[in-house]
Amino acid sequence: MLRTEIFSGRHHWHVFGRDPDKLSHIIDTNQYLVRDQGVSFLLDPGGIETFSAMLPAVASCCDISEIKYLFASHQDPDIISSLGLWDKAVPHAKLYAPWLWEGFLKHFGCHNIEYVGIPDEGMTLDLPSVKLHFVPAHYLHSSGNFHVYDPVARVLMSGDIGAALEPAGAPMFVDDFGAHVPRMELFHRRWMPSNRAKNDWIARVRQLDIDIMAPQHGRLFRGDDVKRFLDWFEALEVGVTAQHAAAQAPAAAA
Amino acid sequence: MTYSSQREQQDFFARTATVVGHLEGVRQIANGISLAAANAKAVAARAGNQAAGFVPITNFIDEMGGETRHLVGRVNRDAQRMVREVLAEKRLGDSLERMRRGIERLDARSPYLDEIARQLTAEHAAARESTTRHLTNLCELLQTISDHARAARMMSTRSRVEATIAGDYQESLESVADTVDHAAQHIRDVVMKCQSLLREIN
Ligand SMILES: [Fe+2]
Ligand SMILES: [Fe+2]
Repeated sequence: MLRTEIFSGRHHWHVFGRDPDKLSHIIDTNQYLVRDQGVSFLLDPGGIETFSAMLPAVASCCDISEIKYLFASHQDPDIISSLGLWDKAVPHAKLYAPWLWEGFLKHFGCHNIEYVGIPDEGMTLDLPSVKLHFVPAHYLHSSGNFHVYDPVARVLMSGDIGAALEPAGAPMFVDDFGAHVPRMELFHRRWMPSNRAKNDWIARVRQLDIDIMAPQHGRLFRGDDVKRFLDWFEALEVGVTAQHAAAQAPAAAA
Repeated sequence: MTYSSQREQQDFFARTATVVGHLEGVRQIANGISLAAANAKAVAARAGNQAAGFVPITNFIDEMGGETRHLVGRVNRDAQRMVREVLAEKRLGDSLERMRRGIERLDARSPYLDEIARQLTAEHAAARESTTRHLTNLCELLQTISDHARAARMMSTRSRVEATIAGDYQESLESVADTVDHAAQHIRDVVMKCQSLLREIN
């Protein structure tokens, strides 16, 4: 599991991903850790199959007992099916996750960790040197869905938004936005169900000052690529299957 | 009990499910025994003095039918609880395995994680012990059912002797004795099958 530090200040952001030992039939994921003066916060900790690689990767940058908070942007298995294992490893921790999914997420095993349901409008979490914001991203793609914004590091952890399906070993950052678009297109068209939710989210996120947009799959966006992504996403029609697209094609040609 | 492979695990679930299925059949047979006993009581009442010796026998068989039904209910509940326990044990074993694999890959030893692994190991061992204990209890309960069925067969033999002095009612009382005998034999066969299924797990 590779670890890259994406922000270093009074607190730190790390991304874990590109696990060379990952089973080939499971999707590659990015996990994030915010470390702030002896308090660590693990974001979208990953699937059960990722845990054995994540544990030593996380331990390489903080003491595991330091993990006080976990976050699940939504209920998908690639996001949080490791919950039952983290429940054993950090029984003292709290899990921040959409209120909507509490009864569902607990199927992964949550006997010790305290579940803190994030209300639909979002909330904040105080770390020693930064107040993090849980930003609503409902229906993108999950019906109860949040992202995490750090106004000091200017990082937006954007869950499945900005995700790309890539071969193993892809670089950590987008370096050519135009070349990256085809890797994201199918994912966003198919997994994102609602244009209305999409536009709502774009309006909300455009008000934030973002240096790095950090999705849960594929490469991260930085600098102007964040704005490029928002413009591209705004123009993209989502909630479209291949069948829809095929049915629309002759009409468009006519 | 060892559950080293997934196949063994699946095998266990298949066996337990088969046992639960068989026991459902035993419950129905036990219902049949109670019915036969009720029938015998009615015949004995009509026969009056001719079948006086028959009454305590039918009472005994009736009680035994009820007791068997009760035991089968208990065994079923226990078997279902055991399936849940085995699932929990499997989940713990899986967590422990994944935790150990992660710990093996640490750059430096973590006393914190060593302690977590130690606790998990103890929890897993306790779960395993409890499953084994429940399996033993289950086997004992099955043995009790089998003993009841054996006693019923002995009673049906006595019934036949009593039937010979029941005059006009001999035939119907013999038929009741046959019903009980067959049912009891059937229960013993099924219980033996269940016992051998469980023995192979143990
Ligand atoms: Fe997802
Ligand atoms: Fe995902």
